[in-house]
Amino acid sequence: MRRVAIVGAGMTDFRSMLPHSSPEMIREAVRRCLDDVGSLSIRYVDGVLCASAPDAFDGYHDKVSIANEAACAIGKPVTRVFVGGGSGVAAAVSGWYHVASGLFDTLLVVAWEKMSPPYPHAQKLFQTIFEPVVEQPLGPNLIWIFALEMRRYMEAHNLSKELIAEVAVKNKANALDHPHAQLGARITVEDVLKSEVMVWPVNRLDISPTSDGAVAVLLASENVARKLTDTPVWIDGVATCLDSQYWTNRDLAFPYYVYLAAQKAYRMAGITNPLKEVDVWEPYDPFTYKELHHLDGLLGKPGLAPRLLKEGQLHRDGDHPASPSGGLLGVGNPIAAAGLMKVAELYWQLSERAGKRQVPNAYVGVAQAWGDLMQVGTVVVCRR
Amino acid sequence: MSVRLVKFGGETLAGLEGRLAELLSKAAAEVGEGRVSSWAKALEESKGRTEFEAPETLVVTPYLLDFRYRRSTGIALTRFLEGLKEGKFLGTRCSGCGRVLIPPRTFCEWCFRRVDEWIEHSGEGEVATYSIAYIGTNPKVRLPKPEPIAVIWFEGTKVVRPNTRTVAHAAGILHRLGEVEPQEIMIGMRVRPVWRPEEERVGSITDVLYFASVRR
Ligand SMILES: [Zn+2]
Repeated sequence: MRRVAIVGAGMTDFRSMLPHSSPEMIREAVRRCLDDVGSLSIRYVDGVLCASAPDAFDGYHDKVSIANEAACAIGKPVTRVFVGGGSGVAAAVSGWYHVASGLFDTLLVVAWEKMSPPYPHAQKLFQTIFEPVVEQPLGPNLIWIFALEMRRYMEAHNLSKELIAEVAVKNKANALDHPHAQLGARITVEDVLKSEVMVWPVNRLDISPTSDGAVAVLLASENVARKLTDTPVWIDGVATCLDSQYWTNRDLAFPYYVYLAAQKAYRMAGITNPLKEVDVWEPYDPFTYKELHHLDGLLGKPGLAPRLLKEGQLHRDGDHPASPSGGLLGVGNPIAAAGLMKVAELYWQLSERAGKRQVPNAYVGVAQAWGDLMQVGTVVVCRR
Repeated sequence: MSVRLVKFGGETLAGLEGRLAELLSKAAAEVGEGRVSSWAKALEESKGRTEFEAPETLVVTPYLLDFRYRRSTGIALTRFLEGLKEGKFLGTRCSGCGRVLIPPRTFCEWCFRRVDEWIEHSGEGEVATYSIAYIGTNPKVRLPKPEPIAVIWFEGTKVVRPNTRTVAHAAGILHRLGEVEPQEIMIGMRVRPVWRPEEERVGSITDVLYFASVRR
């Protein structure tokens, strides 16, 4: 199999409501990505891989079809990847399959979400994520399952809400340095604890926002990558892993599926000690506790991430920076686009183009997303 | 720079009568009002922030979907629901791995074999995790009273991963807790189902009102 590189990336602002249509938004991200690769002509894009989460947000049957023109997909093979929140990183993983196989020299990976149309709130559409016979009659809300998982995680490692709230403080502060961020801010632990309780122990500021936004990255095979850029960022490990839909039959304290996906991706990338060898982490952080929970899975050590947070090691200037981009909590959470934003952040960090967000001496990075019904882990390992 | 909201035309509701027409008219009126000030703010904010061209004026059009579903519940869940009507928790047991499966299924996803041994469970178990819901399905509506919710793991069904303390499997469901103050709830607390009176049961998960603490 061939080595695969990221050779360019582009994104729109993430906003709670962008006045542009989905195609306009997507086209802008694609244009910025191709401009990043020396204004590459769309003739040199061999194929397109799209990711966007539920069709229900747009109220449009197979919403990828409205993106074809904007994603420069006309006359080319197009694939859609969908594993809920895990879609953005799954798109990079599937993109790798395409190029590594030898069938594509270049592949444009595009992810977007437009969550502003549904009224009064996009989040209500998530009621259909629950099992219809034995769960929906209880009148659940999506946040219920996160609150239940967070409480179980707190119990397993005796964690306080105060400590977990520091993830929001850190990520929103990191996002102040991201030019496209929706919610960069200086907040305190107190602000998080005093924000409205949604489903205890989850408060409003523990949750990432709903957003509109699009991200595109261009993948290329080794030979082509070296022609297109002096700073390719190699995707050296990819994996996804799925656990059971029967989430009430599982222990929510540790994400085994993230752990298994990470182990597989590390084996591919030749990483034996992730804590020592990985310089930048972009774990999926739609909720504060999720960054720690996922990092536990990625590190293979339940309860380690909260300890690192306590010691200040997850900060951008710490030994193990996590979400230097600002993450979903700070940059925003246009679902599929948020996952691909994390992959784009690795590209910017490892090619030393992250500006004020730059982590010094970043050679190896890991991005991860999570989705479906709290059951899928998608992981990429990148190296400069 | 302006935002114009387009309202629903009369044809949207043409040909509908009675309660459904009433509900849809209400929904259509609501969507018609939808967030004009938020969109004006979004338009303002998008100006000149980046080189990404923003529109001068914005038109926001309405769209209304209304679907109803009737679902067949299949072999396993039909039997489960019939059991609830009789005040019983029914599950299946896999002869390969020995797991008790609640909610029941007709196959085991670990062994990928057919499962047809049915068992009856008391419904007693422990709180695997819990939280206090201030919102239900509609995130914009605060519940009149915060509700404790929990994942209940049924007694004697836990499979613990060798060499760790974590649980690889337990028969369990999502439900409410009752007869308890939020600050009294603990993970590991023993609970039992509290059923609706027999004549009120319809064969639904809500035939169980909630789970209450088992006092020892
Ligand atoms: Zn089995």
